[in-house]
Amino acid sequence: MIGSYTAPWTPGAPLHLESERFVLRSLGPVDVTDDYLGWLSDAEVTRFLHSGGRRRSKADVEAYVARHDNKTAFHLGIFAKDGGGHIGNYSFSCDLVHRVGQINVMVGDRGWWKKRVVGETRAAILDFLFGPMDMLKVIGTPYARNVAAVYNYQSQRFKIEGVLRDHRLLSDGTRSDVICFAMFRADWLARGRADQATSA
Amino acid sequence: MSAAKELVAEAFELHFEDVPDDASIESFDAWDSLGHMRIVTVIEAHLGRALETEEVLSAVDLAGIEKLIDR
Repeated sequence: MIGSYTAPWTPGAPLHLESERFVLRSLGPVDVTDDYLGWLSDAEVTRFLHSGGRRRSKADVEAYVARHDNKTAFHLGIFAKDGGGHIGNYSFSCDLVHRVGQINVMVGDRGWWKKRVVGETRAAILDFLFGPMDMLKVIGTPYARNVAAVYNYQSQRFKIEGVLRDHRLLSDGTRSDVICFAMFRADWLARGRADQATSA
Repeated sequence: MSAAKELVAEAFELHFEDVPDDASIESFDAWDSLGHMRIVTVIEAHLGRALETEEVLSAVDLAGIEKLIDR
């Protein structure tokens, strides 16, 4: 689906994206359910999140969700089309001056781990960021010890830009490197053209 | 690259001959995130130590894995 974003979108309006198996849509405070709050108190889910395992009240999370303006800051839920409900979230932001986006993902429902959720859904978001948002580059910064996340970036052919040493403190008191990955618009769109050529 | 291929086969619970010679994170369908985590674990067990960040990043194809285990 690379380079295929065609749906209308107005800055400030809720965003709705789709992939083969998932719907991605802007979240509001009403979406801060017990499931969502449960993910944030699950040590396995939050272990490698930049936000860490800090305790947050429902009001804190609702305020966090409400801060995303759907202009340069987005907070989308991942919803399984096949009755799977809300399974995780994306947060991403866009620097309109430098045309660089930054993206973070959390698959909170462990039943969906290792089912290729991120590769599929992040492709839809990259189409949006390199399409209507007109970004030139999108970066992601997973913890090096989060091997599944690193796999997701490498298998999606993000480029490695560098390693930040001992950049994050883990809950066990050890520290983790952080890897800087980047996808450039030209590379993403070229892949789309190549994929279309091979499937034609 | 038979040693690397053996490790990949072990990680994915496949027969040696079912791992293509050009298997990589991008080209081999069986190479999913769970398999990748297993590959890292298998390499670490083989070496008897945790991999450095750059080493994890290089374990994306048979050639990269061969270099890691051949040191």
